[in-house]
Amino acid sequence: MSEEKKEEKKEEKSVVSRRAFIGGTIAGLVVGAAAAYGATTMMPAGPKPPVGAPKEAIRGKFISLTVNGKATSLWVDARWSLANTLRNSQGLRGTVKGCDYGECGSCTVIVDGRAMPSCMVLAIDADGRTIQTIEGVSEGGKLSALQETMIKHRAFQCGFCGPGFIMSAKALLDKKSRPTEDEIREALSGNVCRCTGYHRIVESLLIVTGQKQPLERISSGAIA
Amino acid sequence: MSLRYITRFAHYDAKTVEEATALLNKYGEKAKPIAGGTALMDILKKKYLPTPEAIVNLKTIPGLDQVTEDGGAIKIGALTKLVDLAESSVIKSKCPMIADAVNLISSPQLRNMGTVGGNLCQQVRCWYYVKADFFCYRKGGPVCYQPGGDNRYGAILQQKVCNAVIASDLATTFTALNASLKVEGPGGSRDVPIKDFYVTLGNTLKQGEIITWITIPEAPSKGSFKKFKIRKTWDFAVASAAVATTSKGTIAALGGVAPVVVSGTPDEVTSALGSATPLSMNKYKVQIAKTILKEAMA
Ligand SMILES: Cc1cc2nc3c(=O)[nH]c(=O)nc-3n(C[C@H](O)[C@H](O)[C@H](O)COP(=O)(O)OP(=O)(O)OC[C@H]3O[C@@H](n4cnc5c(N)ncnc54)[C@H](O)[C@@H]3O)c2cc1C
Ligand code: SF4
Ligand code: FES
Ligand code: FES
Repeated sequence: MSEEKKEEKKEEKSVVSRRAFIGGTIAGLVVGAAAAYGATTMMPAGPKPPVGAPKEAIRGKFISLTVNGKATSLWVDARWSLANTLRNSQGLRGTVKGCDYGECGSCTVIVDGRAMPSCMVLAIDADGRTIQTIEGVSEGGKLSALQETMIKHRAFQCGFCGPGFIMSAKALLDKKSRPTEDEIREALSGNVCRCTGYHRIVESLLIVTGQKQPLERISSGAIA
Repeated sequence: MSLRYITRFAHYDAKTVEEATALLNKYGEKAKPIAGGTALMDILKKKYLPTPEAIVNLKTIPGLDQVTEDGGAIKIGALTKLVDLAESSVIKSKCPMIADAVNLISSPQLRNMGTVGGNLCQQVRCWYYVKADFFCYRKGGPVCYQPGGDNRYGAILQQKVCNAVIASDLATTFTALNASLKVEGPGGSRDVPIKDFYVTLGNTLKQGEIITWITIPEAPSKGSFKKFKIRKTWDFAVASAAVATTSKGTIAALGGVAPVVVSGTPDEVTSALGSATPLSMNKYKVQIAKTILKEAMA
């Protein structure tokens, strides 16, 4: 091997090892972030009350929430909406935001048994509440019957509105096991879907509550 | 995104009405109460009004979320959630028109949060007003943008300086029911008949005051609420009408047509509509208001 070739090989090796090093660092960063992330529930983060503010003035505080059956205590800034808190502080990114103004329903979560747009709730006002998000809908690691039916019957296209619809539907079904079509449409009326025209969504609920036969063509499996 | 970033404020959980009014009074104009937050969050995010320095949470005051019967009268706590109002057995049996009205407000999800007091005190939704870029008359500016702009949802009656329409459907309903509001403040409490509560540019709450109870003196023998809106859900009224008959006579009230609720005997309201003064783009609203009133009186 000529000197030149050797030099090249060396270069290659160092590139490889540099890559390996970078890869390793990224993995390290991710692990580190995860560790720090876990710690956010323990540590007060964010701005402190300004000096000289009246004593009772609160810019943020520790609140306790039961999220998907798990009790947590977390620090929230008074300005944080429940949607942002669930997404950014609790890592529950299944709750998505469309409008941020209470108009589309995509951020719907169940608070104490009632469906609410979480973008319109101040997290600080939700102290002590029990919250269910889309992450808590599956049962034992498997999709719930409602989710399964909605997927099978192509209730969604792009799927962005899905979590909101499923939470509104769940709040309804938790209260009433066989709602009429009118009741279903009413309960879902705060959710907006830009793709489907709602028909399949409503139909899925009728099917999962045993009020309608599953559609042959679709259930027999183009999707499966 | 940055526009939606909420400006800092101090947050208080009030435990009693006295505490809430004292705090509100201390900050003066710079504090706002928060109930369900469905209307206030809009202001905090869109910033079309200055963000208050302090926000006082009223939801932590116990006891104000009840609907009770008191002799022939119906008493509604200001912190009653809209959903609980519509589902209350007192309302369903004694005054179903309130439930009808509530079920036409916003969406089921928002009704799970929104309260009666918040509904009565919400801002107008004039589409110039709700944008931070427009410093209009209602915000203390020099001009109203509606006459020279897009005024298709503007007022058709009683436009003095502002052409926005009252947004609250419960204001219309409670006016027909001749309700009175219990207002508590740093100076004690007072009762305000709801027809004196609203003025062209807002309401007559003074510094530090909040609504605590709404009293309907007599359940109507006949009553109905009708609302015309463009979209079936979460839409504000293009025009709404409430008509209620008690032993004292019949009161008709129109919402969505003027900065305040237009009310009187059915004849007075009909003739007011007869001499309506629509803007350049909303003549159609006069006919809608007439029809919706007729439907409510039927
Ligand atoms: C998408 C959407 C659609 C809507 N559609 C309708 C509709 O069709 N019809 C309708 O009538 N409304 C509608 N609303 C308006 C409103 O959100 C709800 O009606 C609700 O009832 C407001 O109550 P809240 O408790 O959430 O108010 P908040 O946001 O908590 O308060 C509103 C205002 O009232 C003040 N306030 C609250 N409680 C009191 C009190 N007890 N005393 C004094 N001041 C108080 C607050 O400081 C604030 O300025 C809609 C809102 C949205 C976001
Ligand atoms: S109608 Fe009223 S709220 Fe709307 S722009 Fe004119 S003054 Fe402002
Ligand atoms: S993001 Fe909350 S309702 Fe649209
Ligand atoms: S499936 Fe795309 S918004 Fe509903």
